[in-house]
Amino acid sequence: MNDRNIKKLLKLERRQIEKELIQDRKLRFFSSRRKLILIMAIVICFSGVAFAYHQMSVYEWFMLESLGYDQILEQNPKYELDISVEDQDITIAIDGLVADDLNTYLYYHVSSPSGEPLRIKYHDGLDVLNAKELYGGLKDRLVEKGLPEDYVDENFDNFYGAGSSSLAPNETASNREVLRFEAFDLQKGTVEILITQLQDAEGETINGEWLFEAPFVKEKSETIFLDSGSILQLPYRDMDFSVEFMKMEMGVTATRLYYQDDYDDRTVNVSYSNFTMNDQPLRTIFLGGSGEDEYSTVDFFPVKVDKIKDIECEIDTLFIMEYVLEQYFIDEFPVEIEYEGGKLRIEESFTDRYQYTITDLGYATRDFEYLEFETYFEGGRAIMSQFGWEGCLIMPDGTELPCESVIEAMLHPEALKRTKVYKLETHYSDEELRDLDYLDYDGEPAVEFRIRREHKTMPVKEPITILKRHFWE
Amino acid sequence: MEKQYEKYSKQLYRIAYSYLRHKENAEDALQAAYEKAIKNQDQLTDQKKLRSWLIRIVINECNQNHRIRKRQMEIGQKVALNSNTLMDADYVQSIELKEALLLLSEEERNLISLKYLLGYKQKEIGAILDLPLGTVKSRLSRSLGKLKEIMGGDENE
Repeated sequence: MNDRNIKKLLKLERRQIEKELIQDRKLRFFSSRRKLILIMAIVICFSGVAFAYHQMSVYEWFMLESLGYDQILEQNPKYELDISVEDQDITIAIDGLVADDLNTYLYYHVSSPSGEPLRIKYHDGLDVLNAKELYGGLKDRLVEKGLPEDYVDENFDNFYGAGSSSLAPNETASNREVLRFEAFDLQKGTVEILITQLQDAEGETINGEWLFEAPFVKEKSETIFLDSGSILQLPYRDMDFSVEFMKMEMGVTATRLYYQDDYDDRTVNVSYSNFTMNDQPLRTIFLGGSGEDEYSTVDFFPVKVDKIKDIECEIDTLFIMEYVLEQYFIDEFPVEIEYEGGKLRIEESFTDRYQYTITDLGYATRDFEYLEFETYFEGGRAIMSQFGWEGCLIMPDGTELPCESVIEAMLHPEALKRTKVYKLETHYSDEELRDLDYLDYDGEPAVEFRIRREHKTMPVKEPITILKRHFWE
Repeated sequence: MEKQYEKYSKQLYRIAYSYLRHKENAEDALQAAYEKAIKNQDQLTDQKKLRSWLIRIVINECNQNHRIRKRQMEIGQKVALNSNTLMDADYVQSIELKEALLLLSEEERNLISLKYLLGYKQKEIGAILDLPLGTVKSRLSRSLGKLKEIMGGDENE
């Protein structure tokens, strides 16, 4: 073996590592898409941004979500509160605090003389002063699992910053919200909440001091051990897939399902839908999920049934990230390259940095929705940041709708139903490369483009039985 | 410190993974490295060297992990080699390369890994391993020679 062979072998090994890392960086596509829909839907509802042709559907979705949170409080009227504090003519009122073994929901509204929409800037402007008392046991569990104690101490706010959702106006208040905290460790006590920052519709911060002491009593949840599972063959490369359902916890704030799925190939993720219990649909809570458990969890709005007969769901979509490697060496731009019988045009522009636009010149017959590119520069560096794309939505009936941004695409009600979203134009810049200070990078044009992954969705309909009880059980 | 660690976390994970080639082990090594970094943050006097310092801690952690796992890997790979007669030549060479890397000294393995498996420049390697550029060049060349020798190379080629 000579020098050249050794270096070639090392190069192959480096490629293999890259490949493994790409596979390892498996995106939780399903959850990130869901989170994005949630965040954007809240932004839209709050800011009044109009998306004319589908505003109603997003609105309806938001109203249902809001109603779900309100029903949790309505069904537990003993946890309604009426505590308000005023500072600078702005009043914050806590309307309720519902706690169980799964979550803690804090309901509040803000009112001001101007009536402008205000909300708590809860990442920076909300502190739970007695968090260490409320979450002592949770801290111990996380430290036991290997997290450094200092780190847990300094990140206590994650426990009470688990999510927030706007609520629809009711007859008494317009600026309403629910905040989700992780479940408290204490069975009952008082939460000491200090609010120091609010945010208006323009994103401007209003400083002040609103201090509350809100009492709580934690309701116990009921655990049903499921110990069931399914093994399926997915209609993609005859891939084996298994899912195990461990347990279901039913509390006043949520019904939480614990599960664990396993694939024999990490290029695929599945999405679950149509959960039912005793043939009644279970509605997913977007703010849900456990912050500390080793299993995957999904939270539903709470359900009450005398006896559970059956729980079912189905796998409705496969999200596939297929690894490919196509290399294109580029001498000059613009250039058209061929891929899968279609053409891609790559254009280059330079202002203060290099930017590239990759346009798909045809999509009608292809089965992938979009491609992931790697761009190599003179020095062999290969990091690009994607800063936007344009595309279109293909409805289940084949009709095409334009979507000009990822937000619009994600918010489209058909996107919620897993309509295919095609990226037609993708914009990249070398911004990320410039941000990596250690590279001493001062701008080089790209010389090579590689297509690394195809993204596609595949609709499926695989029913899964989570629990089935017979009348004698 | 967490913010800085977070900023470099992808890069540090890449390094840990390249060394250990095992997701959970790489995550464990990062976790241990993180704890050490927090514990010893007073030792970092020049903030500009934070990145190199963190990389060095991760590499040390991975090397420790290597020492523990070296024997296990040797056994495991021999079993794999014996049990799978249809492996292609690339795969066999890849295993041989991993074994050969384990036979290098820690410094030699660090040099080879940083240069050829992670793509760092010699200047950057110098900063990470706290070595002058000239030393990086000479030791890198020597390390490559040793790797070649282990893999059955002829020094006179």
